[in-house]
Amino acid sequence: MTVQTDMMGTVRYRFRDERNKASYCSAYRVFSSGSVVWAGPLESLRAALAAVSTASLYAADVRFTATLPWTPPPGPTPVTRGIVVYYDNASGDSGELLWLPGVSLTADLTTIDSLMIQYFTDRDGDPLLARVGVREYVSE
Amino acid sequence: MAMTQLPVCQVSYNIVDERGANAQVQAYLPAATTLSDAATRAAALRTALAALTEGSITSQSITYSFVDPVAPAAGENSRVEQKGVFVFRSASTQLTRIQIPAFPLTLVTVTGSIDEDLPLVNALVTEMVNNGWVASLGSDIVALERSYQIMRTTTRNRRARDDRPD
Repeated sequence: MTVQTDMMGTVRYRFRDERNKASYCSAYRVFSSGSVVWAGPLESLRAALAAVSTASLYAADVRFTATLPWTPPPGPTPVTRGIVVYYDNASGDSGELLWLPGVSLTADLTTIDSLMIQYFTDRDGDPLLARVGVREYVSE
Repeated sequence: MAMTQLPVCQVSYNIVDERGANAQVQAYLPAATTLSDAATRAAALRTALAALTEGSITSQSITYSFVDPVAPAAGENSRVEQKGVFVFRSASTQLTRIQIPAFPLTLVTVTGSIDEDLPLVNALVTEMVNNGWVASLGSDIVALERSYQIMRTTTRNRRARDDRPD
């Protein structure tokens, strides 16, 4: 199954007003398949928006969303039940956890582990080294 | 550049169960990952997850985030509920709009429309029309259709804190 991102991105500019109340302004553009960096039109629209708002334009994100074709869930397990998988990171600090709803404690995590360690990082960008734990988790 | 990229881009999936309840899964890739590679890796993890979960994955998103560490402070009396609305027409005639929070009254005429002759407003319109921005279906924005000010209803979270019951 191919994800139809079309490289169409939503650029969301984030604002905060004097009371620290948040809001945003979204615009769309088509991106190339390369790196997503802050340059060119992203910056020029930021400057144009900041010039016509009295709020603080303090952050932005670029999101690519794909709605997937899906069928009714294959099993009865609610998404409030699942497992949390723990990974050590390269810097040896808190590492990262991966919440997998609807997954059994006895599931074979070989493929997930391989992908996480080869490509993914913790939320600070540190590479993941190894799975160090799994436990059941119920969020209800 | 004013904006600094955060060290990761976030990959997230929405999973629904047979009751219709939703849950989200988040994982992270280095921010330098190209969009093409991020899509490939997100798809691989999604396939592996789909093979294990008893829920169904309904959507996937990849988000690159940026912050401005030296963003100017918000102006006095700025209110995000005061919006400037710009409605643009695309080459396919689709209408698309942007809503700008804390839009100042100094850019609005007495009728509530936005003064499109003002240089700051004109610069924004020129940016949207001439710099590759598109409508939600991907068609190029070609013209400003109309613009006006609105006042969004103040939500509970935006109400003054001293106006809320304990």
